[in-house]
Amino acid sequence: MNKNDIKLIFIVLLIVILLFSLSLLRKEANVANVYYENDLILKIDLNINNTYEVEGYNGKVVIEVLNNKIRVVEENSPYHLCSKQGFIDKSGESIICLPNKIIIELPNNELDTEVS
Amino acid sequence: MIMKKILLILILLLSGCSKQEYSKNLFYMDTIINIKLYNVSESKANEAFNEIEKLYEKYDNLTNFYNENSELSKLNKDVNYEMSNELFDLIKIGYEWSLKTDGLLNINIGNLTKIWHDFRENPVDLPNLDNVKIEKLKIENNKILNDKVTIDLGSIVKGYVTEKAGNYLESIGIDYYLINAGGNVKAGKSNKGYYNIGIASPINNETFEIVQDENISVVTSGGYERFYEYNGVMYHHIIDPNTLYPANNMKSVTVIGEDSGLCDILSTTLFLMDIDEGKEFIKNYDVKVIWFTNDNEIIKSDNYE
Repeated sequence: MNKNDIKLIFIVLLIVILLFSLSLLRKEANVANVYYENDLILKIDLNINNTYEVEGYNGKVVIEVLNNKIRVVEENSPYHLCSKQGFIDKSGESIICLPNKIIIELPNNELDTEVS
Repeated sequence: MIMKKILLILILLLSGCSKQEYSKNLFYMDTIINIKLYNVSESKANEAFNEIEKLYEKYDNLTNFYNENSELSKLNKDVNYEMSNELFDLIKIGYEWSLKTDGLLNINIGNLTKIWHDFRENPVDLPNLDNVKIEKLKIENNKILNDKVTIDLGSIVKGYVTEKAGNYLESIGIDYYLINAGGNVKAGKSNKGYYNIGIASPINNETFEIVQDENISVVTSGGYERFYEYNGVMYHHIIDPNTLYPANNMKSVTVIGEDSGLCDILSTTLFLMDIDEGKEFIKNYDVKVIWFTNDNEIIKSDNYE
């Protein structure tokens, strides 16, 4: 093993540690992904209380973030199921506004999918 | 020299991170259908997404009870309507299960499911069910013998089409996939040897069980999103043809097995049975079952590890 090899191992190790810590950071991030059909249209930071407006199939969908929880407060649909659902805050949970084709997802790194 | 080596290793590392995964959402059958494909090229993934969309769209157009242009609606208006073989195949499956379950799984209760559907849309007074008649489907020599039918295939079709979608993917060489059609999960092979498929609690939607497996189907009946409350009583969309009321034997039941179509039918059937009866019933089938009781207890079938 010459000097260059040791350098190489060192640099690769450094990169691996860097990538690993980046992936850890991602897990801790408190984020909600908002999709329209298949397109990610908004990433929402759940650490900041705020309201957001996105455009759904039937018009405006209003989303509120309050104390690290997220909910839909206003949308145009026959039964308002996604407004009635209320707040979600756990990774893996989602709000689906079917008539509006809006999906709010709290990413879960442990689950590949879920039935309910 | 050393830079080249670093570059090479970096490329290897990064390619390991960005494993090819394609995901698509479809909106049919009053639900959201998510399809994930792994280890495929983009063009092949898109081809597969298109074909699967056609499949769900086709069966939605065939079987949608609330779309008056669907073939099923035409049959419900006129029992002599010349339906396609695809629709008849589904109806025959429903008929066979009605025989196997003594009419407990009865697809010919569209008149009743519609009453409860309308009540859910406008829950003012509990529906009057005095004039509701339930008739079993009669089929002989590939012909429906009833004078009139009101068939609702809601308990069958999602699992059936999802099974077809999975089989299609395997037929074109895509073995690594995960389909979730509104709670009907069909999983193919997995790169890590298993998928983590969560089962959500019907009371708070939190994951209470994780199924770790590949080449598996998981279907839940009951559950958090399909209950609705009226005057403090919880009602469900799965209606018992014997009582004419939404079944309330349990809060949810999950069936884990190979065939998504079978799991879908069994989960509805088990939801209509009391738990002890269900435990006996599933001994004839190679599936595992988790019941979530009205007392919030979790009961697993004897073969569950």
